Amino acid sequence: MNRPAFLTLTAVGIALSLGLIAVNFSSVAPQAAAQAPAPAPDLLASPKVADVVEAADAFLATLSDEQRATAEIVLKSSLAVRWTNFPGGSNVRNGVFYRDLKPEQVEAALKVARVALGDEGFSRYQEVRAADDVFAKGGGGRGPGGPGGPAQKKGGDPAKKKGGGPGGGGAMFGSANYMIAFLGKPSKTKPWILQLGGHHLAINIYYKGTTGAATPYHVAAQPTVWKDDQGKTHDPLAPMRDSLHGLLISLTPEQSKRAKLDARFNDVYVGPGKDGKFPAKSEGVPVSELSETSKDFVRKAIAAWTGDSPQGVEYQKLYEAELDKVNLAYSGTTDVGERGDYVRLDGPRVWIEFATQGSDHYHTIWRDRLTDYGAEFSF
Amino acid sequence: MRRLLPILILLMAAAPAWGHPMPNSAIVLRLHRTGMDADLTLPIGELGVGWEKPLPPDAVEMVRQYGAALEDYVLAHVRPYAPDGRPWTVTVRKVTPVAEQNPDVRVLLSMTPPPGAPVDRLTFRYDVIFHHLITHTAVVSVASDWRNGVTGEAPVLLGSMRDTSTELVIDRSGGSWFRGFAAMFCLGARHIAEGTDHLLFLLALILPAPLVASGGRWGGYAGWRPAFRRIVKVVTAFTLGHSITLLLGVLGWVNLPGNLVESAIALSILISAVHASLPVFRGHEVFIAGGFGLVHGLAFASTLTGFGFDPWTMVSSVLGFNLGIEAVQLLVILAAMPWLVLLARSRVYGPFRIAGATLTGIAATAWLAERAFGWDNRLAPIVEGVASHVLWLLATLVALAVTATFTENTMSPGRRNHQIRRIGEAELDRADCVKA
Repeated sequence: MNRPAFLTLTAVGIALSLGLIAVNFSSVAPQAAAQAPAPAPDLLASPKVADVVEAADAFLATLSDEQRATAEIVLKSSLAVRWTNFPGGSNVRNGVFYRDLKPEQVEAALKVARVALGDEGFSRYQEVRAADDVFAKGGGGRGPGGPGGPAQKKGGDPAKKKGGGPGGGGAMFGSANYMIAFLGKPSKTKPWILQLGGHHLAINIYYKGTTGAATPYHVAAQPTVWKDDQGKTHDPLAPMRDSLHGLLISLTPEQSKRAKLDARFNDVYVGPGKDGKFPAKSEGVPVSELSETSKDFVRKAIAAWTGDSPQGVEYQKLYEAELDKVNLAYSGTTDVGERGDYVRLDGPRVWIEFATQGSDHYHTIWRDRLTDYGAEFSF
Repeated sequence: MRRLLPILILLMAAAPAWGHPMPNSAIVLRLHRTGMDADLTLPIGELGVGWEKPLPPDAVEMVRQYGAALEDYVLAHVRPYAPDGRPWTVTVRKVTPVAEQNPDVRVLLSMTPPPGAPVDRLTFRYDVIFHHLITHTAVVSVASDWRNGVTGEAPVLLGSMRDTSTELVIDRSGGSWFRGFAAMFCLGARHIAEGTDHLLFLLALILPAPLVASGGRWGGYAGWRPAFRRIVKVVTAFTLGHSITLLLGVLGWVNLPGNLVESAIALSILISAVHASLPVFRGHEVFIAGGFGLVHGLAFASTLTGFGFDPWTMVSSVLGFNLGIEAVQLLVILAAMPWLVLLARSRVYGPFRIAGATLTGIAATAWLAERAFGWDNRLAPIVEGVASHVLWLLATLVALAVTATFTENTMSPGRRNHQIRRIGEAELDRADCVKA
């Protein structure tokens, strides 16, 4: 190697290393841009907001800084839609999980749920969590492979699946694997969303000052019916199932034929990740053409879901006013209990679905077409 | 979006065990120069409902009974079209059962555009299962698209299809041979930059380069030119070695168990670390580096296999990948070498070299224990943590070299270094039989 070439090489090496070091010291992380909230029309009165904010603040005060950072997050669309009707932990849901909290912290969280949901809603909330406990112990879970499809080969004891699931966070089932999250800071004036969720629950309650909204509201159960140690029978989704079953068997054969869809379902259609993706055309038979008996069942069904919100009476009034514009559709059998049975109520505002993944496994959803997530986001 | 795919796959794999139906089908596309492969994974439970057939839950049994009929069903529901409206040709290459926790059936399709139509632009019409079971979805991704730099290592999610979106416009045009080449170059560069073991190996190899060996020990400073000459020879030998096995490995002619290769690499680092503290193979570095290159090349090859490229693309990949490796190696050597040589002139270099060799040796031993015997490697996170601050390490080296040079020059200017250098140069030239 001659001298000039060798000197050049050395100079390049020195310049290179110094340059790399300089780049390392001057790198700066980019800043995220802020998002302006959209206007929210058609909200309902939400008189309990002060109580909910008080309970929420009390709960948040019990948390460590780290827990609080997990529980209280930014109000934005991509986080709001992070819920599911599948098992799974923080990889698919927001917030802190009860399993990571001390008993007194869970107590404070449950108080938020109680105030926010009202008596009926809170009782359903606790029953669905209890069902998950029964399922975790192997008391339920004749796993379906899909509607009309083959029964699953393995009966499946899900309790044995501990630690193996996505997210890797311990057992996937049971009442401790439920969570609470706040999107935005709980406030009496500014918009925020309370999310209460877990396998088989996704409650999204929107607050903006003294107004709010209660949907999307996903509630499900497996097992659907069980007896506890005291011999008491639990059947948390009975009002939903029974009203829809009553409705379907009250139809005339001709109405039943028109209401029946050719398509098959093994889950709700406008479920998680499908926000705003309502079918283009409302299918089935119009409720306006049904008998008074049938209409009463429709009212009962609507009350079954909306009753879980403190704003339920107001929602019922709105849906009552549009009752003749609501369509009823179903798929599978009229039993509302066979695998693949499916019922839908679809109105200008109201959207209710009930899907059976087996006689002991229901998935349901209630959405308000105009105020899902308080119409904070557009989909 | 790329991050989503593993989650989806995890959900797909895990959900049925919990009594939930499997959420979706998976469609994985692989682009070739003349067409496209589509690899469909269909959950049998959902397929039975969508197809309206009472399928047996056993995957093997299902394929035995219904495999032939399934081909017709799938062909009736997969219809790719060219932009001008002419249909592509679709054939079923293989139907295989997947008998895991949840029974699936995999259908491998070959899709070919009509004459004259582009191979990278099409409308993909698809409604397997969800033409009837409308809560079903299919997730579509590309796992191999050379001209856009997509490989199985980082598949690209194209979107999901369901009853309301049975058409997906796929436009993979705009890619070029160069983009594929550049992606491979980056993959090779990243492989070295993130491969702490390869980096350490390289540094261990050049650590004794500026020195003369005398009496079974490393002696003094050998001089600038021999040092650089030695580096060039060692690195070239290493490059030749790994290029040979990389090609052989990718072509499938040599295939050793990954564990064995990884253990051998750890061993090569250990030997290099020993050599950096005591000259065990002085004068034979070129052959040793070449031999180690052969071993490392096999590890590189494992990164490139399984992409599903055609032979021409594979050769291009190997070239790009290899050049990426070279570029980073060169970068590392150019950045570190001047300072090492500078430092080698000072008395600090002895302790510095021993410390570097010892730490490298410890890390290599831990790797070896982990890879060969499956022992728990507690050192790995520490080594990775330190290695992730490589520029800080470089800064430290620069500071050390400058300080040492400045201090020693003021203490004993001139003669000592000069003398050592002259002796060293002569001795080294004899040992290496190199005459300019």
